Amino acid sequence: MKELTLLEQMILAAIIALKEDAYGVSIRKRVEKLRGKKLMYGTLYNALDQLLRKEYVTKTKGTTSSERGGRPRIYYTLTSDGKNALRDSYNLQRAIWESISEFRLD
Amino acid sequence: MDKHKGHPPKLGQKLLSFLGHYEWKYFVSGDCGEEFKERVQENGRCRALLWYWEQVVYALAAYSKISTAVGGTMLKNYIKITWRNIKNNKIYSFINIMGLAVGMACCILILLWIQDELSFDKFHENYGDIYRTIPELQGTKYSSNPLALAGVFKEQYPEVRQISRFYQMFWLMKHGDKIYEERGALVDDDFLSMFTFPLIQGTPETVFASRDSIVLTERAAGKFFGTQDPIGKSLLVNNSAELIVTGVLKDVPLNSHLQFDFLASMRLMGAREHTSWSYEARTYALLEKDVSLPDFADKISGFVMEHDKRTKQKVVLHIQPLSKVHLYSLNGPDPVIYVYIFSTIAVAILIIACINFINLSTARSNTRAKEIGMRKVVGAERADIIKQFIGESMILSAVALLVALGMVYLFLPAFNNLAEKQLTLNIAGNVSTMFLLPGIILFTGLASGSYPAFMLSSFKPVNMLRRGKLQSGSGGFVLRRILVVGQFAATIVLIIGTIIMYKQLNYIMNKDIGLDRDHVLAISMNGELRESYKSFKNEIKQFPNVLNVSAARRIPTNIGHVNPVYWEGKGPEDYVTMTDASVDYDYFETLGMQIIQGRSFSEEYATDRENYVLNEEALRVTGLESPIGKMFSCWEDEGKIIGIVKNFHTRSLHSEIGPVIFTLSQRHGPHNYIFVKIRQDDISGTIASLEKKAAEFAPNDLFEYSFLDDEFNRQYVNDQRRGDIYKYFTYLAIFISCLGLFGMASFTAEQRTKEIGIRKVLGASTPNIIILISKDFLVLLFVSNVIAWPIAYYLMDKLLNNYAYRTSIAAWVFIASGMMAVCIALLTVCIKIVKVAHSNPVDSLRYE
Repeated sequence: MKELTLLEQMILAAIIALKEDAYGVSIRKRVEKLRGKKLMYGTLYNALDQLLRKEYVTKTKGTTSSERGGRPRIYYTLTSDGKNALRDSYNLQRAIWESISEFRLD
Repeated sequence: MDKHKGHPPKLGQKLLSFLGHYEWKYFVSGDCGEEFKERVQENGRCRALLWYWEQVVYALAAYSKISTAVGGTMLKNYIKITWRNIKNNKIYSFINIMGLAVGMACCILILLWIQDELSFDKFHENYGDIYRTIPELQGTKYSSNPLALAGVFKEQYPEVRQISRFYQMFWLMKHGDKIYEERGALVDDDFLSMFTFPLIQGTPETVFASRDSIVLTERAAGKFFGTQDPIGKSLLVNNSAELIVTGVLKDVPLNSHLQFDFLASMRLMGAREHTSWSYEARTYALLEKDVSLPDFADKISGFVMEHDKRTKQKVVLHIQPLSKVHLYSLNGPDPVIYVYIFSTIAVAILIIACINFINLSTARSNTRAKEIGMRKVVGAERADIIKQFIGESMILSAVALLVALGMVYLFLPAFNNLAEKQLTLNIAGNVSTMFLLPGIILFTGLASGSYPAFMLSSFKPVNMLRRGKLQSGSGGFVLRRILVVGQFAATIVLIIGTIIMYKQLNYIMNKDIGLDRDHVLAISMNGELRESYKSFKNEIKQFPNVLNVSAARRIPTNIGHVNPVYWEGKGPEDYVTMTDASVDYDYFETLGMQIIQGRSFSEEYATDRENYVLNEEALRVTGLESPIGKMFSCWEDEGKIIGIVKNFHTRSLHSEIGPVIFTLSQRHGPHNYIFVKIRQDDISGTIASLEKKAAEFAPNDLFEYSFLDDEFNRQYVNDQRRGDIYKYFTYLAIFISCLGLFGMASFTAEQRTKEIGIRKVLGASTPNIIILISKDFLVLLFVSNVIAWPIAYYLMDKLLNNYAYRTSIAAWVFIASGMMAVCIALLTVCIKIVKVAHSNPVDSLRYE
């Protein structure tokens, strides 16, 4: 299985953290804060598209609010595949760092 | 907060809604809009807008990446098919791409030219507020104003912020052993702050602080001082005055109507600059921003008459904005019509090239019928086919554009030479070309691709597949003929236009202008030669090849200043103005001007120093019945009329003959030119001996001469240049049309291969077959002529009406142009057909 990119990991983590409130604006803001660098909607949705196609996330339409120009919010949740993929990434990351624990990073 | 303010921009929303797939439009526009509102509250609308647009642009870019990845398979197929079509039909593709490329190259060149013409004087920061004053006397407008006008004008009108005169001068300047004649001007102190001619050294306010200062352009400074610092150095001007360099200017750009290499202070004129009402210097005024122009123009129209107390003649003062100086002439045809003419040509050539494309693709649509049928059967919708074909023609036109850019790049130096411009193809740095190039692709792609696209997509797939081709006589046939007719009609109009423009140019350049300008040398005369002019004249008159010698203040093309005159029966308080030419003895004889009444100036009469010779027009203005011996006066210099000279043209034939008076007096300045009429043979030898003689008399002066006929023709240099440009573009239009015709002929020949084979087997000869096929084209060409002639007549008549002296529109021009078009076209067609007609019928019958 292909490994998740860093951005994908961040998005998946953000969706988990945000629980019921994971939609475009909130995800973007959270990821942006986390990585301390600008995140464009174009990039975000590109990645979300990929994740949708790999079926790591699913989406549900929220209620339409006038404040969004009649467009409904789309909420994302992780599938079990998505959770597995994120866990794999975590294990991989940990393995990477453990493999050099006897050296010091300085 | 204002309710409206919270909404994201409509255009952005629209753009985002183009992101059709994957519900992007909902996500992005919804999310963006939501966050936009927050940001408006937090950071203000401006910052939020900036953020929003950044998101929009980025999202569009990111989306287009995805969509090509998804729709890529089909796109790849389209590109592949396009490429195969190009490869399999090399001739057609070549004709298509070359025709389009040449057309586009012409279009780009012409547009660059137009852009440059429209850019004249725009580099001045005060471009919109600078005007020049234009006096009108007896229906003729002049750019020269009375010297004293500027000062009074500024005082009287508070609307005038700054004013400056521009008195053009040609000075012989000397520094050490370097002597050059330079063109420049005397200007007022405000000149450099009104106009944007940036100084590299010196400041605009102080360079003219001293009367004896001079400002040079970089080019002139380099000529005199090389790499040395020119500031503070002195220049000897006309062997008489020492001027100190106080500033260095950037070179004057070519798209400035004011051209000069030095500037000096108007105060060098002495007291005359405030008192003289003779028409000598151009005057420019910088007006306040809020001036109502029509009112101001009204106010000033009587200004000259109000202040130049002695005049009773009507002098109307106009103002002309800087934006009109280059493209509108004061009298005669406005050069702006060339901008229109050339724009029309650019569009015409592009359309001719597009017609080729349409013709060839519809003609060849037969061969693609199967492909389209197949696509439709497999599920392509009509829209898909249209998209494919328009896309294909877009690709072709993009390729053509690349070729065209290559051509432009190659030919730009030649074109610059022809047009005497310094155009550059600066794609990245020039906003309008950045829009222009995609515009051209879009235009040609749509114009040339849409007809084939709509036609081909409309057929029923069953028919297309069953027959493998379209029904004969289907739509394209008639349209093709109409287009060929239109194409050739346009070409014929261009040919007629070329011939008529040259005829007109020829007419004005060779018209009998009332003076003999052939083999007359004009030698410039400076200090030393001027002093010894008499003895110099006597000595060179002895040369066997010298026929006659005279002198004058100015070259006949710019014969004198406009000055007030009066005569017997009309007092000094009631004067009119005429052009006052200061000449020497033998002037009329040297220039072959005909005295029709009285006599010319003669050294036998001592009083001739005060006497006058008038031209016919001047006599007509005075209305004197028997003019000889009548009192006549220019300024206060009273004398008698001793002769009348036949009318002759002074300025270009674009304008009419004005009243001119001749006098021996040199009160407005010394004579600057010696005119020498020489024999036709051994011209270079004669010039060499004249130069030697001049060097004896004036060792410190430059020997500079020109031929009078060149001086006259120089007035038409712009017309000639435009004529040349026009001519070359006509050639190219003919070339493109013929390319198209060649393609059509090949196509017809190919279609009729079997027919030709059968005819040959049955006994038809090669000429029979050539006639058979070219007959069709002949009819089309004939119709084109019938359409083109009246259009050309109408256009040319309109064009020629701009000239004061115009050539006739002769019938032969039309017939010749028509014949020419027919011959070229038939030749093109025959090249192809002869080959087919010659071929072995066995091969052609086996064909298909």
